[in-house]
Amino acid sequence: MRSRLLRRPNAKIGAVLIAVMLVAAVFGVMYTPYDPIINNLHARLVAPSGQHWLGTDEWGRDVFSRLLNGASVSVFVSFSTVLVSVAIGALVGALTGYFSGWPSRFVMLFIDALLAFPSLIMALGVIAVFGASSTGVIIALSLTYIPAVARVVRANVLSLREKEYVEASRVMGNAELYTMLRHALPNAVAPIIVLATALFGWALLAESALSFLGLGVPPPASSWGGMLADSRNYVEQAPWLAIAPGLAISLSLLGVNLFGDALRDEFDPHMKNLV
Amino acid sequence: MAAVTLPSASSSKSVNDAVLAIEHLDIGLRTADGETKRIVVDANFSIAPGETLALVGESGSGKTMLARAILRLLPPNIRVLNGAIRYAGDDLAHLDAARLRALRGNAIGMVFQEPMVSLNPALRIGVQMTEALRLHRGLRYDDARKRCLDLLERVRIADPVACLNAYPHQFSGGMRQRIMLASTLAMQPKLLIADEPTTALDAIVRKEVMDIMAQLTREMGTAVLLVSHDLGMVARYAQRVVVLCRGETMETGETRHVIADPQHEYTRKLLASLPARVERARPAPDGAALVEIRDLDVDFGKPSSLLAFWRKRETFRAVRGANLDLHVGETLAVVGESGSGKTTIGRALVRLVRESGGSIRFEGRDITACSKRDLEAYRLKSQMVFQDPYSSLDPRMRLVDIVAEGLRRMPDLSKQARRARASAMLAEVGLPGDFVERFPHELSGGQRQRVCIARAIVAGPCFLVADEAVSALDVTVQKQVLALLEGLQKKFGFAYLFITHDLGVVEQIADRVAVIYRGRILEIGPRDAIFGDARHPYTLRLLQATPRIRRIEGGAGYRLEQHASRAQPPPAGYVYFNHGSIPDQALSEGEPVMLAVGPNHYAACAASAAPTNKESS
Repeated sequence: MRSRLLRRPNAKIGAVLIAVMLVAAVFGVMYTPYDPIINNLHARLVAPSGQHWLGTDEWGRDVFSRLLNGASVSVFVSFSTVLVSVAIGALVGALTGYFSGWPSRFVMLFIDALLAFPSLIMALGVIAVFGASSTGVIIALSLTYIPAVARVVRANVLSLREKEYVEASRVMGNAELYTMLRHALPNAVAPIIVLATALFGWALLAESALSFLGLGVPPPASSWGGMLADSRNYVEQAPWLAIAPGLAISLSLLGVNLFGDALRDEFDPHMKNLV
Repeated sequence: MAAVTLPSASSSKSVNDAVLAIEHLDIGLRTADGETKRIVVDANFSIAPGETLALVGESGSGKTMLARAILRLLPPNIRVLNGAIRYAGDDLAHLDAARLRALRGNAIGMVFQEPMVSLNPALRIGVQMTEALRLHRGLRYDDARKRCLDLLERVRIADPVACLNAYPHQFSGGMRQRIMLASTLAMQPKLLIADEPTTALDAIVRKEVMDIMAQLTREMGTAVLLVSHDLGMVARYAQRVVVLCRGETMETGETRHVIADPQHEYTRKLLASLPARVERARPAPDGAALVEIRDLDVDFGKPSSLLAFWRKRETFRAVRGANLDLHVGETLAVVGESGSGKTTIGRALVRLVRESGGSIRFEGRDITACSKRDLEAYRLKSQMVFQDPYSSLDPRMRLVDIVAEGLRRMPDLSKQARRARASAMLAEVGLPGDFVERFPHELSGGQRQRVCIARAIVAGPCFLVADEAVSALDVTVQKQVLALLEGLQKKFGFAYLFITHDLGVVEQIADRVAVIYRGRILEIGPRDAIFGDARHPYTLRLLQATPRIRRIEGGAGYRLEQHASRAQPPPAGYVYFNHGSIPDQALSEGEPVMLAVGPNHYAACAASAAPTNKESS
């Protein structure tokens, strides 16, 4: 399947962009040309050059190094968010989809109520409780995405529950939980993967938005959203300050979305056989 | 039993007189690899005015694509390669789009298989029915409406005026198909293409719709192209037949002759695959039953609103007071139309649904109220084979694992032993060797059903519930699977509760038959008694609605047989439901009683009328 997937041009572009982002994230942790945090007031607002590929900011910090460092923060936060929300959301969705009855309905009522809140507003509230840190952002974003995952998984498990092979397993005398984990949930994996890819993109964007508002990873640690926010005062003198993180966010998101779309087309049986 | 004579085909069959002539038609499918595969090869036939010609074949024979090609209703990757479709001097295969559109729904009408989706649910019947008349004939709404009312009356819709103002969801499948027929025939088309028009309908409704269609097209002189897989129906309604197999024409001729004296090997195979009654030497059931179902009621709750945790649910009673015995090693068929509750009885038996009342005893133990351990033991003794071979196997598992899972609840079996027994069982059902490591999507429908059977019997059950287990299969495959089921029964000695709507299959394999309607068992008895001496009027209607093709004694050919109707009117007192919605008044006199009408043969009868009817029947 992988080779077929990568035959799609969109998937190729997406995969390359994602790979660049992941490499940047690794370098952000392992090695950066300059220290991304320490100020160097002798080299403030230096334009891009051979020494500073993407210039420096108002504190004299190398923008390229900060970009790499920001990539690792963004990827870590987004990835953790996806992991947490998919794990919890899939479990809640599978349980409420497979087992009917009032406890299920009660949980879904709660999930629907969560879904009704605008996600950023809710994230703001959660961060107000947990404080502005990467953990706070992960918890906040996970809480906003769990309902979406739960809904999608529940819808899939609801229809899978009626499949005759699930009934066959019940007739064999297998326990309900076994049947759910063995036959129902694994057959819902394809939509979960597609959704997880989309979630990664959303989380990336939301993390940047929160950092832009000063609610993400606290300074002086770098983050793309925070860099974008700091650049506002110097847009005319030092446009590279805005362009570099802006492009990083856009291209990463583009990559994730292109790849996600290709993945969805690959999994969606309705699109498959169209010549 | 009486042979039915068909109206002979019109003598003038020259191509010039024909309404439609297909000449050397090839239809190709463009695959994803860019290659073109021919799915219809060199088709040749013509239809005379007023004639009904049937395209018969199994799935994948190309019959539907051939019919759809006439109005160019083909999917984008399928197209006509060669040949001509002659209609009134034009070649429809190469006609420009505008002129083809003028013919569609006008001179050539079409009725589709699925009555549930072929009417637009958002529009009133009147708007849809008058659409074609206004478009093609330029009639004003009032005139179009008059014409529609006339047609609705002719397809025997009870209240045509109300019908025009109603929405499709207010009608049953049979009614919708009649409405489709009326709206298509309102245009007085020269040709009607009917693609499996009654496949989705129950036997009695099917006969009603087909009778109306045959009568109206005869009156109007409309030629009919009937696409069907059902040889019995074709034999009853079509004058001529084209037998297709994998896109190639096997045989063409008058239906009567083709059936009486099939020329092609494939036609003979098709006819030989039809279920037929074979004598079975089975001892009459005696002694204690394996399973005893007593006064079984099953209710279903209608879905209530999300917030109403506390509200009592409305219920629908799917099974009412059913009494059934299943004996060791016998095959008991439960026959009924969709919604009759036959499936629910089977599902209650394997504990997929809970009963609301009554009891189910297995070897004397009531399994509706037993310990968890007893229930687990019972699960190993009862198994089920499902209808749809495409959704009854987990697509991610290998065949050996699917079958081995049936042994998971068996105590003291290693994984190795389970896999070994699963492989042996797969070989037993005709899937030997490297089949074990394959995935379900690599198998055909018949092979999948074999896997389902292997999974069901691997743990050595005492009985199997087979819920329409062969209904989704083509007749030739169906024959093989039925033979397998019978062979396994002989070898392992389990009993079948065979749930089906197909009387032909029942006649072939059942020892006893129970007829169920609206949750009530109306008649139960030995197979020969039900088919030869049915007492309940509903059973009789069911038998009469099912056309059967039988081998001529001592010959190679076949003929169409119709169940002889009883000379006398049905005796009063039998609990009988009119086929509309009004239950017979007998029901208002209380619960029916099962009246003994022969050895082991019982029919439902109103309690008040029971004693007097004993002699009259």
